[in-house]
Amino acid sequence: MYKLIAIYHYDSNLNRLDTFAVDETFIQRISDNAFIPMDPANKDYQEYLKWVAAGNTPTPAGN
Amino acid sequence: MAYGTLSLDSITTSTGQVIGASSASTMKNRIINGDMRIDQRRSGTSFTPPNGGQQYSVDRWSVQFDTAVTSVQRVSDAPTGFQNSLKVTITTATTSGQAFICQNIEGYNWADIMYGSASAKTVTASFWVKSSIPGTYTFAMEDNAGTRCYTATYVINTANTWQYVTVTIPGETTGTNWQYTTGCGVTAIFDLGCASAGTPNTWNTTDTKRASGAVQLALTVGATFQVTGVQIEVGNTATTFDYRDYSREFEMCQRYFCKSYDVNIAPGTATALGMVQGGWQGAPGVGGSWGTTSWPVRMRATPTVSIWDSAGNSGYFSYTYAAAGTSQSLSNNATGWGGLINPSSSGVMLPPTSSQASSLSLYHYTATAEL
Repeated sequence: MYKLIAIYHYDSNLNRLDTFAVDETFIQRISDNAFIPMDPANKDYQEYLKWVAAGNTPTPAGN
Repeated sequence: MAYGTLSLDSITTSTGQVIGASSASTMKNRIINGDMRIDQRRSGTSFTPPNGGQQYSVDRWSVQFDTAVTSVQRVSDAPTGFQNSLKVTITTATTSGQAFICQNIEGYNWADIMYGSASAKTVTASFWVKSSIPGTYTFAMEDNAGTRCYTATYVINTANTWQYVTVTIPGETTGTNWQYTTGCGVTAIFDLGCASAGTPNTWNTTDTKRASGAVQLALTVGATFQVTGVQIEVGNTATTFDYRDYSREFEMCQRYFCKSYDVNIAPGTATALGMVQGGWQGAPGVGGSWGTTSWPVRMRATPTVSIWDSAGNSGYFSYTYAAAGTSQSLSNNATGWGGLINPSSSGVMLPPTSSQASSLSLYHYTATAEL
C-alpha cells in the first residue's frame, strides 16, 4: 500500500510559492513510512509500478 | 636490463597465499562483504524475513523465501580466518516458490566479464559452507530477467562441518538481459530449496536456481545453512580470499545502503547520536532554510529514504524548539509541509519545521539503493 505526498514550497512568511516553485510528489510506502523516489533505477519504485500495473491505486495526496 | 614475461595461471607464495590470473585487479573479488562482517541493518541480531521478494540481511546479501519461514542472522561461528558467517535456520518448512540466499552484483562490477558476447569469461566462485544436511547443493548465477541461469552443483560431505568449496562457471555467450551499468549485472545464488529445478552444471534458459536432484533445505524444520568467505573471480582457479580493508569494504556497501546511526546501532533505535540537520525555520518574515543531507558515498541510484525522530518514530523528524524530542510528521499533507525534495544519488533536502518558528529540524535516516 502506498500514498502520494505533495510537497509545497513556501517563502519565509509561510506563503506558498505557487508562482515559481515547482511542487513535487513523493510516494510513501505505508508499511514503513519510507519515501520512494520516482527513479526508474530504484528497486522500490519498480515494485510500486508493478503494484499500480496490477490495478491498485495509491491514496491521493492530501488525504 | 630487459626482463622477460612470465605467463602463469597462479602463483602460490611460501605462506600459502595464491595470486591468480585476475589478482592484479583492484577488485579481484566481485562479491562485496563476502565475509559477512558488515551488518548495518541489524548488527548481528536475527530477523524473520517476510515471505516473497528479496529481504536484505547483512550488507549486500538478501534472502528470499516465498513460503518457508526462516530465521536469518549474522553469527560469529566461522571457519579459521573469518569472524562471521550468515546463518539461515528453517522454522516452517515448505518448498513452494523460491528459497535462496543471493547477492545482486551491479553491472559496472561485472561488465568486463562480457556475458552475452563471444568474449564471455569463465569465473570461479569459492566459499565456505556448513549445513545440517549433507548432500548435493546448488550455487547458481542468473541474469536479471531469469532467462539465463547456471546451476553449478557442489557436495557437502559432512553435517555441521565447515567445508571449502570451489565451482567454475563458463562464460555465457548468449542472452540479451545482461546489464552493464547500474542495473543488476548478475546474481550469485545459494539455493536452499527452490521449487523449480534445472539441468545441473549448464546454462539453463529458465528461472531455475536449483539443479535437479539437489537438496531442498527448506523442506526440513530446524535445518541450518551457513556461508562465508564468498569470492567470485575471473579465471578457472580459486585463489585466496581477497581481504579488503574495512573502510573500503564499508564504503562499497554504502553505495547500496547507508544510515545516520552509528555502525552498530539499528535504524529506528531511540537515540540522538548521529542525527543530521534538516531545515531551519525562523520566525515568519525572518527566514528559514531547507537542510541538505549528503550521502557518505555516491549511491547506485536515487535511494528510498526512511527517517526517524530521536524517539525512533518512523516518518517523523525532531525539532529543537520546546521540549527535547518534539517531533513532526514528514508527510503532513494537512499543512502542506512534507516529504523530501531534490532526492538524488548524492543527497536529499529536508524542509524547515513548519509548526514552530525559530527551530531546527533533526533526523535519522537510512537510504537504500539496492539492486
